Amino acid sequence: MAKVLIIDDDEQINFLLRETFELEGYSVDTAKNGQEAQVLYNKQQYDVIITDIIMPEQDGFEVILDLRRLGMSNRVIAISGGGRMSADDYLVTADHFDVAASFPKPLDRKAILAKAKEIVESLGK
Amino acid sequence: MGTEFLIAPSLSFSYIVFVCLAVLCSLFIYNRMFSSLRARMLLFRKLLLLEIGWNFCSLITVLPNPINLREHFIDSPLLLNFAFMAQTLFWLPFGYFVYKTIVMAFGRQPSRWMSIYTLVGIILYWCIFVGSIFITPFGFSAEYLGITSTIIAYFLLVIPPMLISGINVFLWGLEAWEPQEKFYAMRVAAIFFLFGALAIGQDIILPYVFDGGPNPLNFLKNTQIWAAIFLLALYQNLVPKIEYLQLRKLAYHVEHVVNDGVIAYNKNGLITFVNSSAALLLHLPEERIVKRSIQEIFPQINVFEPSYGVPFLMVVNNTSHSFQFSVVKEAYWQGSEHFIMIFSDVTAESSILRKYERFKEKMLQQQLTNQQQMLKVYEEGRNKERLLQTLIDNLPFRIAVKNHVGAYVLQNAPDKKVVGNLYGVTQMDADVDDAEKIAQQGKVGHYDRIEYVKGTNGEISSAEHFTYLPVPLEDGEYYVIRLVRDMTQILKMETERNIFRLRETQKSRLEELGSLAGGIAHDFNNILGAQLGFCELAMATITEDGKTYKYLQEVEKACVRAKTIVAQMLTDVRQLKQKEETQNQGSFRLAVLLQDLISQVRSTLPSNIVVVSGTSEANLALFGQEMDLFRVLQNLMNNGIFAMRESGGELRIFVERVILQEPLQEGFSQTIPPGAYARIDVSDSGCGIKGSELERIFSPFFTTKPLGEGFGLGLSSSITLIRKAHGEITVQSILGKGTTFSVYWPMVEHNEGE
Repeated sequence: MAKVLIIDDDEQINFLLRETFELEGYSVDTAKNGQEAQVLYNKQQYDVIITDIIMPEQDGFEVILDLRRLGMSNRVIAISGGGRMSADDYLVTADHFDVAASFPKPLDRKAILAKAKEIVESLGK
Repeated sequence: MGTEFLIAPSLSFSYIVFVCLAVLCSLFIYNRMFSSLRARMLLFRKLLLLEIGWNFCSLITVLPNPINLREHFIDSPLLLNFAFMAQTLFWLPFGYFVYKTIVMAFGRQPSRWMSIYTLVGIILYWCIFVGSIFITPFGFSAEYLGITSTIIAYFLLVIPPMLISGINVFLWGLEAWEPQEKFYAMRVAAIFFLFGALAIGQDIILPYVFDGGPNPLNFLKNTQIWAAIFLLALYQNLVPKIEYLQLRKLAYHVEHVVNDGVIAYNKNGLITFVNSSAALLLHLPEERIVKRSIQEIFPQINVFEPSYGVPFLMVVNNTSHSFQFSVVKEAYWQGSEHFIMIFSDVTAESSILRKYERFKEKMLQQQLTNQQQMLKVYEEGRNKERLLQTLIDNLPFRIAVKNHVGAYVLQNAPDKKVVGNLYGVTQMDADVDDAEKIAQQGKVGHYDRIEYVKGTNGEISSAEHFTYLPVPLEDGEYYVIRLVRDMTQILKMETERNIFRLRETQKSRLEELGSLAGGIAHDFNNILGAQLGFCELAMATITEDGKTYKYLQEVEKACVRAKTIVAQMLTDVRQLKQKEETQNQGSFRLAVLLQDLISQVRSTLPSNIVVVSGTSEANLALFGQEMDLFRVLQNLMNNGIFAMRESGGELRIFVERVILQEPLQEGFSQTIPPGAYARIDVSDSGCGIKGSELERIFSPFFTTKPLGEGFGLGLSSSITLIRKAHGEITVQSILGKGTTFSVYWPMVEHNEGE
């Protein structure tokens, strides 16, 4: 079973994504912020990590960088609701860090699912 | 016996008396008329008169018969006695007068006792003599008393003073150290004693020897003679003495009062007189000078030639003194030629004179210096005037100065250009504004007003700032300086700054709005996401028919609509911001920028590098901030210079106008959208850049420079600035040959504002 880690400060989004992925048969863990996430992904390896970029402690990027350090950039899907800049801007920046994909909010569940599947397949599972 | 001595003597007596009288009279006349002033001895004259009187009276008593007075006298004893008494008036005080004359001639004061003694004696004698007529005490006859008293009187009143005189003169002669004084004193004393001796001999001793006794008549006769001759001798000797004494009196003053030295000497140079000043001046004691000859003392002077005020130098007491001397020839003093030298020490005088001369010189010099100084001050004043005028003429604003009554005293060229040359002109009250009026009261301070000129469009087209500055002057008056400064530029800048600030606030407000919008959007997106997502999930769990499904579909639609609106809102805000930025970006001209840049680079250029520049376009108007492009080009040029620092070479900067019809994409640069650009190529002939590095050169902190030479931020900050202006930069490099950076900077279509 593929493992997914959802990192978002919004509980509803976490819940939504959990439901979405569990319905598709993934094993899902959620985290509210970067620190929590770090604890989780240091414990075990995830196949897909979906992270919001703009979070209260601005640590979406931190997570991405950290995962990049860990060599897991290809497993990261970045999502953003925008902020001062448009969501696109943030996501373009995220692209610079070699994430697998980036999606704006409100989320297109089907697209995310498709991408996650792609990642898992590319990992050879 | 009383009448015996009045009996007519032998003829010789009257003859003698007559001769004596004649001699004395002539002596008197001579003294009066022919002697010099100095020899006018009034006392001696008195003496002479006395003697003349005596002789005259005697003459009367011995006159021949014709007059026959004698008989009258014989017949009337009272008259006779009266005549006799008259005689006594003359011979009784004779001794005292001789004494007085001698004493005074020798410069002494006669003793009062002598005069009292004589007076008392005379009175006593008269008492006795007159009394003897009426009273005859002790059985003596009148005659006897008369004769006796006369004889006694003679010996007591006449002889003693004369004796005393003689002795005194002798003593004075002894004590005198001046040879002349000694000489004369001794001569006079000799006369006294000679005559005394002769008188005694003839009248007393001889009669006793030859006649058995004194003969009163003879005695009388002889007395007259002796007296006359005595006086004559005295005269001979007294006159020069008096002369000498007068001189001595003068000499006294000369000696004690006069500061000049006086030395008298005879034709052989023998010094006969020296005063104390002379001794002082010559620093020799008087005795030493007197004993020397004049030539010894003044060897360098011709002392026998009369002269006046001749200067000479002499060493006295080891110092050199300036003297001035006069020589007077006094002929026939003491029977020989005498010279008197009067000399004074003018060293002090001459030094005073010299000091005075120096003082005068100094005053003159001072005057000259003062004049020079005044001239200098005047010149300085003129120079300052010229300096001031040139300075103020070249200042970029108007300056005018008015005096305290409002007349123009100074204007600079710009002021004259505007209002004309108004030197000396006073403006009408109406033309003087309030600020100037207040300033003209003279209190120091700044008095300003601003005059605005509105253009046709109602906006301020120009503004002038008038400043009035009162300047207090030395004499209590004052000037008022008027400055007129053009405020237009400043006002415009102020206006722009205000607009800018407004824009800034607007911008920040927009930024706030943007943040707000973004914040809301973020939350909304989450909410919408949740709504949509759970809606979908719910729809997936139920069948498609049925009302629940349909209602959920409506919910979905509503959410989609909300999502659209949020997106639109964000887009709108973003567009607003962009429009703002576009409006604020401004524009500038390229030509000046390039000039400044190149001159700045050239100033610090190493000698092995040459800057070549060129442009095919005159003056392109570019978009954005001038400083940004300046910084970019500066960076590029510095990089080029650094690349060529060892090999040297050419740094080229060329500008071209480029119109892109299609987007341009070169190398690793972003795509450049179509539009009008100024392409600025900065090329160097350095070592070039490796292909692998070309991608990374715009990254921050990327540098090939050695440690300490740079942080590697130049290109990354440049690219930020370029892209902020919506431009782009491309690079081409050939290893070993050189590198060219091409900056595509957007142009503006038309000139806005500046």
